[in-house]
Amino acid sequence: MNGADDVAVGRLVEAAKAGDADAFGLLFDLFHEPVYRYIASRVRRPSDAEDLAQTVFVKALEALPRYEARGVPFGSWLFRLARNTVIDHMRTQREHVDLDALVERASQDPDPEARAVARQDIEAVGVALAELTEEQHDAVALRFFAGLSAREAAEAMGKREGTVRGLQFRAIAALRRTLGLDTATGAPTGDNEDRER
Amino acid sequence: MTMDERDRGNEDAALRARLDAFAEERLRPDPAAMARIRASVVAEFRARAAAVDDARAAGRPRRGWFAGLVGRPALLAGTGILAVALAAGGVVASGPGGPLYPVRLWIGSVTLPSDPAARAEAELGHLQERLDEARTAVDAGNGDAVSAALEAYRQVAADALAAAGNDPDRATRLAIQLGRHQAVLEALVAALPEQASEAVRASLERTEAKIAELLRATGTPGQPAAPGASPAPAATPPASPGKTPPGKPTPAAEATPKPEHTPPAKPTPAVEATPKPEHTPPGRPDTSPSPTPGG
Repeated sequence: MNGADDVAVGRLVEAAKAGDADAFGLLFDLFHEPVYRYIASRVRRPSDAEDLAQTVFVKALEALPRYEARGVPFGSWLFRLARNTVIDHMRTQREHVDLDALVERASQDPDPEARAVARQDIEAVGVALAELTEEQHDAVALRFFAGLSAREAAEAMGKREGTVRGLQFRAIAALRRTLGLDTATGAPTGDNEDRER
Repeated sequence: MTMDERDRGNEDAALRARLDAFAEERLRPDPAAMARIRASVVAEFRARAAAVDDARAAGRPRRGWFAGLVGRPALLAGTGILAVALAAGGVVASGPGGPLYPVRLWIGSVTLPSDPAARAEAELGHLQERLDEARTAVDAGNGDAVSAALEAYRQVAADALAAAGNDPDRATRLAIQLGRHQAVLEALVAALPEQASEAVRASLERTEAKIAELLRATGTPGQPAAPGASPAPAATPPASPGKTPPGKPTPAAEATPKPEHTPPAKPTPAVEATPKPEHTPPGRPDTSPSPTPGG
């Protein structure tokens, strides 16, 4: 996002803070997909992801009067809400990505052979993601599925940018290894370090 | 090269492709569910905002958006009425000619799907929406709104044709849709009341002419391409409010695009060089954190 985009978002946020529901609707239009993608990558069922996405936006409208633009950018602020909502949900539901659920959704590819291969690949990614630590998974979901920069992801996770880059680096290494894409050898991945945190 | 770019360089394309395929298959929101959630969230926002306004009008101290509603059925009923009024105001704000219309167009463009087929489908939807807006504005006799909607329409059409590029199927589908719209525009011009402003008439005719030009340039069925013609949008892309959000808080200047006074801009490298951010949501001022969102 460039500066002009930031200005446009800032303008929408100010209008929403002043009570303009239409502006809030536009913020929803802009952010609902990345927020949903992040949440959907962290919970089992699409219906849960939808409920949680709604919860995030309701929390956002409740907290909006207290939001100040000089602090965390709106996008990062919203993703912090999303992350907290997911964490709360997982605590209460004891939820983890369910591999059966990952398998249950069929691909739309009409060619049976291609469909089988694509499905296998997608299942493998789901399995590989499930094997990451919670924080690595968060970093990957925020960066790749929600499209945040490392800085935005760090703000959403309440961590330093360098820490998030490290988590991302180790997550990528682990994913490549699990998916059989890793041709390099030797470098320690730090997975255990992430697990101990 | 930024750190983020370097990070991306470190990812191999194969892993990225696998993650993208996973996201496309497993993490895509259901549009119907999202529309339902949007309606619900915005309705709640309106109700709360109305309650706050009511509390302010009554001179009570503000105690949170819902506090004033507790145990006050009459206030709740009033809130409903206010919510309807605010809803109408909101529609006006982001409707053609409204202060939030350019922002709405921009959001529409930056949230276009990255998948080519889905993107083409969404572009057709945007074209239809703009045309519907123009038709509604004509019915309402709102000249500014007609101009704003048609200006947006022309830009969406040009952008969509440019994006179709060398994909003949996509360009043909688009041309068919534009051909239908051309007929609608002709009917609108023919049905314009006598008292319709010249600006509205000119805007409709200009849009119709632009569609004809685009169709000729793409050489669609029934519209043979001009010799040596290249796709018109690539040659003459207008400045796109759909891609460039209003930069400064000057609502009066942005609120009502008036193409009759501000003809489409000449092609600029910036327009071509600003692709849709496919995965990057906005929001990145360079300041330190202060709020602590709930939870």
